[in-house]
Amino acid sequence: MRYYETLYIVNPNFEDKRVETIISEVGVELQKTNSKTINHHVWGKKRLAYPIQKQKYGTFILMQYAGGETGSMAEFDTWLKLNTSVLRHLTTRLEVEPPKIDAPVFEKTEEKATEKPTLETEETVETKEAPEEAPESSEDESIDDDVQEVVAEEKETSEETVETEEAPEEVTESDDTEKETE
Amino acid sequence: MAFTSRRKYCYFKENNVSDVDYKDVKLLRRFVNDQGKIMPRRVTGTSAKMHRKLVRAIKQSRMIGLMPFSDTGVE
Repeated sequence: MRYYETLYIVNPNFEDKRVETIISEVGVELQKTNSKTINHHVWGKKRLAYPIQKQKYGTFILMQYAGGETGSMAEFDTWLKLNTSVLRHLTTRLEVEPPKIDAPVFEKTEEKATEKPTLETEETVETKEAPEEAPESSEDESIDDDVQEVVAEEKETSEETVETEEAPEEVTESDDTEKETE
Repeated sequence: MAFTSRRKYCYFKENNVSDVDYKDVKLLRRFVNDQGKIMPRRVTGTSAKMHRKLVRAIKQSRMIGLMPFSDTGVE
């Protein structure tokens, strides 16, 4: 059994209901390939690295499934391509069976959950690389501010102040490390 | 300072990472320069095996719009 993962981007201006209908439409279309859906949920609203169809942001939806018939899988791919509400999609093959996530995690909580463990491991293993991470996380938060206007403001402001205090020191450190590598 | 050689190491081997996820932009960002170009192996010290996987992941990430093809800093 082969496992696949499809990540697709939906117009960020769509309201939740419309996104849900798109998700169900894609799910129905996937069923035609006799695939078993394992996960299918919104990964989060993110800023795109470059504009796609004049959109600066995108709602990312992640879908993991056990592959069905290869012929109809190609049809599914073209269907996604022709679907106008899907800005872009990418299907990759997974080497191992993906774990099932029951409760879909939304952008805010998910990103922090993924950030923390990586930071911890990196800090413990190597202290030199860690400073590079900190400014990036502050960038990520600023992006989140743009996307989600209604968030718990108190938390973010407190975190940002902490990071801005740390940032200047760390930036200089990272510059040094970069020079060394060069 | 000038001639002290810093031991290069493969980040992925050090951390026992066998696969590179294209969705982990945070990780991939450290293997590209400011312009978004993929850094050479001689700079990052990544092993040949993992560099192949890394390059693949970065390119996939670019296709889906998570990472820039070219980042000149102009908005």
